[in-house]
Amino acid sequence: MVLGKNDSEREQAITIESDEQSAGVPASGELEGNAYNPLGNAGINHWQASYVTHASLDERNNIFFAAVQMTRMPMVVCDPNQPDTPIVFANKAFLDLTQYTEEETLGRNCRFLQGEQTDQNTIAEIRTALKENRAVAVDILNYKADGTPFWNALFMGPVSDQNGKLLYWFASQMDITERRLTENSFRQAQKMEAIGQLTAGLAHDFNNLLQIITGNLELAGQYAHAHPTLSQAIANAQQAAERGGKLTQQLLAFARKQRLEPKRINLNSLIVDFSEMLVRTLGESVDLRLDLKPGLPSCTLDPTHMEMALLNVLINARDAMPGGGKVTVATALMNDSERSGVHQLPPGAYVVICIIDEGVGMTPEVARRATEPFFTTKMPGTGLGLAMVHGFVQQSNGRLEIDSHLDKGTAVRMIFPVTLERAGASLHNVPTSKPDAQTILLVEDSDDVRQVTEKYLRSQGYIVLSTHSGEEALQLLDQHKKVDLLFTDIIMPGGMNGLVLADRVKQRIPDIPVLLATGYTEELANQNVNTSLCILNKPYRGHELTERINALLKPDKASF
Amino acid sequence: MQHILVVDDDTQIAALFESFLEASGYRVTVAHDGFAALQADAENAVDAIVTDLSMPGMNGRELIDRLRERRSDLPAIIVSGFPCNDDLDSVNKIVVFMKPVRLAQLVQRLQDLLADTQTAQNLTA
Ligand SMILES: Cc1cc2nc3c(=O)[nH]c(=O)nc-3n(C[C@H](O)[C@H](O)[C@H](O)COP(=O)(O)O)c2cc1C
Ligand SMILES: Nc1ncnc2c1ncn2[C@@H]1O[C@H](COP(=O)(O)OP(=O)(O)OP(=O)(O)O)[C@@H](O)[C@H]1O
Ligand SMILES: [Mg+2]
Repeated sequence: MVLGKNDSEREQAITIESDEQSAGVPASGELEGNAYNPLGNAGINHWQASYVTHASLDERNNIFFAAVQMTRMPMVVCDPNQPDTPIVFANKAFLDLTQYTEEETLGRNCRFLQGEQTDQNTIAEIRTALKENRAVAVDILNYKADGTPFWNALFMGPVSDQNGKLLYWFASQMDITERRLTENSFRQAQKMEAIGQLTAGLAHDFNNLLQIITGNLELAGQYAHAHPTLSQAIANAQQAAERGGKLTQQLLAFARKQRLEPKRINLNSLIVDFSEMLVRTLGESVDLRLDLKPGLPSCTLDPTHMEMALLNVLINARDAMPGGGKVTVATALMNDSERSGVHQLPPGAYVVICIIDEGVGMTPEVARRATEPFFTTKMPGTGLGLAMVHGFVQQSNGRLEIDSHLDKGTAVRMIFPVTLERAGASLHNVPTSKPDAQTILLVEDSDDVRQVTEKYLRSQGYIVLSTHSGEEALQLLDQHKKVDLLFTDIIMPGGMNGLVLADRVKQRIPDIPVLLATGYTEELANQNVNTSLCILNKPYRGHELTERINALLKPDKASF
Repeated sequence: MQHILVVDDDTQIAALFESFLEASGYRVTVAHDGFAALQADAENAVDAIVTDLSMPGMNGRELIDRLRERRSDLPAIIVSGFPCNDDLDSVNKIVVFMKPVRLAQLVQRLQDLLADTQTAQNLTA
């Protein structure tokens, strides 16, 4: 901490500026403390201390007095020769800043601006400067007349007579609240970014190591069938490696580098579908309530990561209520631009999902740091839960907000942009009308295979509705009620698989013939597949396909 | 026997994929960088490629692009230690797995891709 010069140092200072009536010690670039500096530089010319020949406060007839009353910089003068150094002059800007009247100000020590959260160390710094007769600059938390806190960039310096006897203390103040807040959040953002890059690099190396470990365990497992103990040991090691994998996933999630597969989803349905799992995880002591806004529009989000985020926030809510209690998961629509402004989002429509608990809440310090990776108050806790949620929400163009009150509870809000409605699925698939032609619903995630198959089936006289996913297939089915056969791939990564799709389609059209295709026959054994299903092995040839389809469409002439 | 090109600058990972794929009935050629991989394919054309993403010299995407100049429908899988969010799957027809990947799952997907490519060839023929 650098303070202004004290008396003896000042005597040695060579450059005392003076005119007839006053003199001063220029700051010469010396900082009076590490507080906010309104000059944008260290300051060369302004006086840190001054000497006057006229001690009177009564001369108020000159341009300098007018200047002091006109400036927007708050200023006060206090008299250290009176008990407790009261204010003997406060300019108009000081009254504007503090919102006190002149009567409420004069005659009082400036400490009436301080309050509950004012830092005692900062006050001690001022005390030292006063004792040693040095200039000082500090950022100090003060309160206005109505109790509003503000950050005050305070500068003060001594005023003496020609003989060096202390006459007054001069001070200027400035409200730097906004700057402090943006600086804080900027610093926090920078810190998060740096940690993010570090973690992402680490996660990459870790994943490579985990690949070697899990892969070799998998390999070893294949040779260990005959040894139950060995198999068990391998399985245990594998489980641990999988946990390691989850951890690196979370690190990457925080670094906003995870692989997301955003889909158009409705948050209400996601919550309802997931609620059973949530209730099971949260246990009996937590009373989970849903308050879902009907008719909520869709968003584009990775559903699995959304579920993970929800789970993380809810587990925190559970942990915050050791004795149990109520947790509400609510959804809402946010439409007006004014409110999006408040949340620092561009104007537009947003979906809000809010998780409210009545738990122990957080102190402002904990709430501020809650999304920091590895920040935890739990034993044991990784401190990655909210870091992951934060990363996910950001990567999904949304915003995470935490409102918490100690002993009252916490509300965690995730805000996501609404996805605009688009026209119904693949209009280009509208069939050409040929009254007796039969319609095949073709579902295949490989574009190449789908395109050639579609072309081939058309050439065979079928009407073809085609799509790359089970979800869209169901939409198509709802639009074109007349479908005579479902031909679907079984393995469609990242979405509904062909078996599930077949079930769903059969719920709508119970006796619809279904033909399944797969290039991986062993998969069927694992999936517990009903052997009565018709399966066409890939790679297939055109005539094989038509034979199977014909057989299914005319079961009486079955040829297989 | 189908011929698979495995490319990873980490020799232990390349060796791991090699032994698992061989155990699953494939013929495997290993390369540790993109240039060696191109060379290997020129000498003995492969039916599919399984490659790392970030490698010195040439990354996995560029390698796949170059190989597909030779055979545009070459099945390709990237196994990356780093998530890549480009939609490689639907646009570039590259399947992406993140490490650590279950080897059985990798092989299953590979088999699926090979079957798809063969089916497409059958139906266009
Ligand atoms: C001229 C002058 C102006 C001051 N202005 C402020 C101020 O704006 N805000 C503040 O918190 N303290 C201000 N102080 C400091 C307090 O008045 C007081 O000196 C400080 O709290 C340390 O003393 P204490 O420990 O007796 O309270 C000022 C002091 C002087 C002499
Ligand atoms: N609903 C809540 N109520 C009170 N405090 C909370 C709540 N949610 C988070 N916190 C605080 O934020 C901290 C960080 O949460 P985060 O989910 O990131 O990690 P964690 O819960 O401590 O660890 P982990 O998620 O690995 O169990 C918690 O330790 C807790 O102090
Ligand atoms: Mg947590």
